[in-house]
Amino acid sequence: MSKQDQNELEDLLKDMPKPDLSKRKRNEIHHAIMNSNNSFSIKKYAAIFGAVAAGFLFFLLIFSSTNTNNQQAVMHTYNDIVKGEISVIEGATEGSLYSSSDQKVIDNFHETIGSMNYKKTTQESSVFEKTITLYNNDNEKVTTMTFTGENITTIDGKQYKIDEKQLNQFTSEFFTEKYKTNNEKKPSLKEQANKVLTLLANENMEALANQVHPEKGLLFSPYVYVKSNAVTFSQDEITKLLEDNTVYEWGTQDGSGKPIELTPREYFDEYVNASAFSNADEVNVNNLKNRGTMLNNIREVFPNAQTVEFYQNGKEELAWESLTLVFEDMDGSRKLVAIVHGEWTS
Amino acid sequence: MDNKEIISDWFEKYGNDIYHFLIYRIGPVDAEDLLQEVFIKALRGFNSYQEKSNPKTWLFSIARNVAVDEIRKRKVRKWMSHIPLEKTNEPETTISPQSILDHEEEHQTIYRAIKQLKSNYQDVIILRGIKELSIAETADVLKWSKSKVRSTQHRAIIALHEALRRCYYNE
Repeated sequence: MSKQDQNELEDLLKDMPKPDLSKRKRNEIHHAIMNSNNSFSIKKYAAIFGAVAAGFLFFLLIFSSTNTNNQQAVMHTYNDIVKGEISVIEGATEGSLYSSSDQKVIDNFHETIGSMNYKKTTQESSVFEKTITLYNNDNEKVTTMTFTGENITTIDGKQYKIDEKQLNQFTSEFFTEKYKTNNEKKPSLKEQANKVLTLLANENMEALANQVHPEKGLLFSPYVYVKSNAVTFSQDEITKLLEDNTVYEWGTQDGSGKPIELTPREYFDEYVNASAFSNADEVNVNNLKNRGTMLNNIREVFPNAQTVEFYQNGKEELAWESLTLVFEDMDGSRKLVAIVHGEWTS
Repeated sequence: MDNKEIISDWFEKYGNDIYHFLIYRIGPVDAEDLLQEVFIKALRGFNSYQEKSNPKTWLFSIARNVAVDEIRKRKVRKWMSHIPLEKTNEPETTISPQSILDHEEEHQTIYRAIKQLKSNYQDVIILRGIKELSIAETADVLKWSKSKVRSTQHRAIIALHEALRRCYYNE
């Protein structure tokens, strides 16, 4: 994006319409604000409206659950949720955590809870606590559903009674070992990054492939601005990557603008160079820094990622170098999705 | 002046500014209701207002929190509604801005492109770009450092440029 484009866009934004409130609306709102301390506040109106709306919703929910087959197509359109997390607390035993980012599982979850019967209740229970939490792309909780025994479930703080048979079917499907997060001492992000760095330095490609995301593969970027056409290899290709003599185009050189045309082995020597980072000056965990003039867009390209940056000051000024390992969660384990090299750019 | 008089005064002075922010952040249909909510919150929370801060940025920061809450509520409603109701119960999130904004096609496209950005970018584009708040004011509203405002604005402009390119490409 050129400076001129940027200025033009900024001018356009300044000229965006800024309509004022109509006089009538203005008076109405002013009146409502000034009277908001009265006993029957707007908030109460909203609460009553909310309660009525919720009642209506659940009436429809119960009503429509008699015909569940028609709803499935609708549910599949809901794609805001990217992660489901299941936590179980049983008595004094330590809680276990189940988690899944598999869209199939999440869709299945939706369909299953969509087909259940719900009746509002004031009854509470605390026999056990099994919670399903759904997260969106920004890792924000979208909703929480807790089962507490005696067929009671709490959805976002409100209690409902569910059909026992359906509940059993639900828990037998979702609260299973299948979704259990690997609790066997999951390495910390830094530990895992150090391991990957060693594998890279030792060129242990087979073990490296095990670290790679099986669906997304591994992306290589010569600079911290990750381009949309960056070279990506699948998990299988990684195993034999250094034996591959194909010349790939990995991007364009900063400054000259010439294409970076190298074999994987040459690229590794020049733009990965993992052994140089074994005693890195800085190791930054989930802390992407803007160094120099080039924009670091790792966050944009991998919004859910966890990152570890190895940074080396270099002997001369502006001779710094960095290597960022980008990981994403997959079914509770961390997988490598990108290796991003960074250096001073003009 | 008592609290009510001060808030009334602020509503006169800054009501439209906050209204503009909400139009772009939430959409024109809910902007009026939320504007009311912002000032009611300001009135109730008046004691937490510190004299040294600027009323305008204080009101903008309340508006931003109200907007974040609203978006969260919409997500929950959307989740609840996916079960039986199909679209009827979904809050309208893609209201055409035509009714409130003007008919200029370019403005409509920019509005749509802004809506596609992530929330931090939307905040900074609306506050800095459209409402022309200073870097210091924006930092105050968003509780960011000035340098974070600068760098996020820079990225947001690039992202908006890209979103616009996509919008035009799809048209």
